[in-house]
Amino acid sequence: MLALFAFAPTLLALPVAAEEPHAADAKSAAALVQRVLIKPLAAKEDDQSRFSRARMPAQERRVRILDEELRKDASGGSFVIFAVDARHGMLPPNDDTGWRRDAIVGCAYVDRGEVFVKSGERYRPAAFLLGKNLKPAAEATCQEAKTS
Amino acid sequence: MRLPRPVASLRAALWVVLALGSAAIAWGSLVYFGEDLAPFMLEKLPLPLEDVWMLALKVHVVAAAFSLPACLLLSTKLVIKRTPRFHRWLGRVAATVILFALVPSGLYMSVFAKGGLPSTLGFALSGVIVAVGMVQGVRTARARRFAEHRRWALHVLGQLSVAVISRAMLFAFDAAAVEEQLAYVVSLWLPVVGSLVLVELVSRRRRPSLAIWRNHEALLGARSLRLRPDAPRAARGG
Repeated sequence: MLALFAFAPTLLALPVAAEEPHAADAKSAAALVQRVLIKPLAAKEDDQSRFSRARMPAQERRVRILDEELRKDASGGSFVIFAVDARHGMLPPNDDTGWRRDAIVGCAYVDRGEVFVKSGERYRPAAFLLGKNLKPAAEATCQEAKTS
Repeated sequence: MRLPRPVASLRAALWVVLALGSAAIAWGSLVYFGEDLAPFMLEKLPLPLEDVWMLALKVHVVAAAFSLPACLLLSTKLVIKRTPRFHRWLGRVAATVILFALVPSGLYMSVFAKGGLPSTLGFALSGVIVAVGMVQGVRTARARRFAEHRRWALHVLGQLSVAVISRAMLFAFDAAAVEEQLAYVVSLWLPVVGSLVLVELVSRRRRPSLAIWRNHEALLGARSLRLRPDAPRAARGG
């Protein structure tokens, strides 16, 4: 009984300890996507012509980290899948309409500081959306390794 | 025929809007010739025969940057009445550019248009109207049937104006947070069909009579053909 009490904090702390890395990963992944993709994209869109058939620049974007745990690709890299929702329309800031879900989908390798975005069936470096003509990344990129 | 003042003012305003819109599109299209991929290109990738699509886009924007201002210039009274020779030559160049560059490149790109089949059909319809309008416009001008020439030329101008009107509509739809695909299809079909109907209405209203023998141009043609046998006696001078 005494031992139970003695180890209680550790035992109770286990679930919290298991969640903490996820929360930290998600936060740093979201920060990475903001830094590598969202902010440069918004800056680039400031110069974009509005009189075009291209999609209009979003008024606002939000990043959602879709994975609860880090995934491992075939080369051992850890990544998380993310989605970016884009808000269009000249609406008041607190108006929650006009959001287009999954406007951008991609994955982030937090430890390597790399972000990839989905284009067709493949993933390309995030700079692709900033206008760089980059070829799709290796096929294993953003693909969880199959465990048999 | 002198137009009533409000109609003339409206026409002049529309002319200015289209000229400014055309300039804005041409300015915005410069990004297609830079090192970076423009957002419109990024949206499309990946594509089969990517290089062919890129070439079609570049041909299309250059041809469009010339065609719409050229057609606007061709439609002015100043050019038609004061410089008929320039009107003819500019018309020939515009017809060549439209028929051999603008329409084919546009039709190819329409296959990959945003919005799927409805958009493809909308762009294709617009392209076909432009091509038919231009061919008929040239034929009627050569036959000196100027009322008909005006009607066909207006169809060409009407469809070229879709580029400006649909972009303005896209901007408005985005401001109103209308769903993207729906906005794209509506802002394509509405001006395409609207221009078609408007040109027909304007042409019918301005035509003195639908009876071809009552048209003075047709009469001139009929005289050169030693009078049509089906024309009424009055037209045959009887």
